[in-house]
Amino acid sequence: MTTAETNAPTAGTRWTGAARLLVATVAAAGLALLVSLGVVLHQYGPGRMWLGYLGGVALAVAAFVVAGWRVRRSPDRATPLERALVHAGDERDDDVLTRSLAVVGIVAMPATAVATVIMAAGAPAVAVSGVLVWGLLMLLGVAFAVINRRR
Amino acid sequence: MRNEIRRLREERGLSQAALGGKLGVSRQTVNSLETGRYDPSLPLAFTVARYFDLTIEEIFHDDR
Repeated sequence: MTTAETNAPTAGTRWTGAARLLVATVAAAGLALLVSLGVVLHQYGPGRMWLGYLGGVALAVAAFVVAGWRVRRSPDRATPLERALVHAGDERDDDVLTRSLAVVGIVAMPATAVATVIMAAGAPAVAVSGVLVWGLLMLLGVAFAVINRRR
Repeated sequence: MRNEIRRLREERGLSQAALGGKLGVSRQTVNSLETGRYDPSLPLAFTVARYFDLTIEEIFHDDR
């Protein structure tokens, strides 16, 4: 088997014990951090924002789990986005993701500056921050789709 | 960048997915390579050349 064939995406790829432990540890730590932020929101956040936040976290975790399952079971049928989500993409997938994140990075600086000015002018900080975060997330999605199509 | 990948692949009766499996990339990447929308990295270019038993210059043509 050539090097390329050993590197090719294969269904049911086995992970080593150390890799499994590392992934599980990072996932657990990340989940603990996200849930902790939810608790902080519950204590100090406005209204029922903590519910929406935890709902969003659950959605994101579910998307990650589904993507990871699809990539491991049928790597040839997984989409570039799914492969990018679980860091199992080939060089083109990585290139598309890198360029998409670069677009978001370029926009994030002036967008944050504008958001700061808007908040300084008296707009509610939570609302402006939410719009900023969601706006950048949507931009990432659009940039990924456009760049994936053009590359 | 123009290249001969599609012709070489079809001569061997391979699908894009099958060639992708041989090269260690996805079907979408093979499609992007064939249409010239994506230029491979040097390691991938060498992998393609080795697979088809040709030189990189025989497969990829610089239009500049």
